[in-house]
Amino acid sequence: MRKQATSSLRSIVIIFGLISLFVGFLLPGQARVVREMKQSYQNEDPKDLIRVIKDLQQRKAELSGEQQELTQKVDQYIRASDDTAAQVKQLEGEIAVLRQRMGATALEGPGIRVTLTEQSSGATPSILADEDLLLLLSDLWASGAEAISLNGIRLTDTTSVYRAGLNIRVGDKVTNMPLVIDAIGDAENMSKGLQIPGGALDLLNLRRISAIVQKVNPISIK
Amino acid sequence: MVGFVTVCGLVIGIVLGIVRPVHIPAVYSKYVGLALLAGMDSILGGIKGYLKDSFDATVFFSGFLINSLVAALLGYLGDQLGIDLYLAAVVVFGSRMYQNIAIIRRVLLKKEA
Repeated sequence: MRKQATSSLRSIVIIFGLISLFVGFLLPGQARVVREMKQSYQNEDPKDLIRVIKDLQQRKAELSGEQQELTQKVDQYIRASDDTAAQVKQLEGEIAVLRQRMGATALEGPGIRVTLTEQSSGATPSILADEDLLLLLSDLWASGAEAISLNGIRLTDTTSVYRAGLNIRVGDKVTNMPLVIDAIGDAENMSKGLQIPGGALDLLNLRRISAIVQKVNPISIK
Repeated sequence: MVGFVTVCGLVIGIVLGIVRPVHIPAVYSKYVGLALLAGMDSILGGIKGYLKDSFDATVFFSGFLINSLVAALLGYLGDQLGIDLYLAAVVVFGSRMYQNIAIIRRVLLKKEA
């Protein structure tokens, strides 16, 4: 009897334990679902929902307007920055050209080499005059020379070139004949430019200065 | 002893339910709620029966199952018919829970006396 009662109690306890465990297990899940449903709109009054929808539509219209304004602003900024970028590029290009002409950058490229030799034979020796040399140089610049050197001395926009006795002063350096003039640029253009009638070569010819023009590639001017 | 086990079982069940939550679809949450209400009423009824020495495991277990099912079905039927039939389950099981708790309280107090 006692054994039966004990086993009966045990089974009762087990049953209660299991069923309360099962019910307890489902309770949090149920509470969570109800909480989520409250946060959603499923159980709201239709009138409230209509009001919410109208508010949201108005807000959407306002935000669309704002978005359009901002998009236009962004476009403006992009266009402005594109312009700025183009200007910067142009300026950079100009700087590069100026640096070249200043002699700040070493260059290498196709060009021509003009070798001037005075002739010491004959009744009067020929002497290269300043004006002739300057004419030759300006003809070269005009024909598209990007860089010129005289006997390896780089010429810039501000370099002075003049005859001083037997020497030729190029800026603060001294050199003498024969003169090898290297010019980087369009070789075709430059040689044609020199050969125009009445041009530098003609004049040098008159003065009996020998001028040999060669197309050289590449020429290196530091 | 039985009360203690029941409370422990509930607590452990709740803790398990929090740690490993079961996903109840929102559509069925109402019916699950009704079934849980019926289940809790059955547990209290069982405790009452045990304290009054009239507990029957078969009656208890079948009562738990059937009452839970019927409560859920009433809710579902009411939704289909467009009437709040679930209220019947809420009122009945709610009032039964109150009665059972009252009886349990009286029996426990008598026993202590």
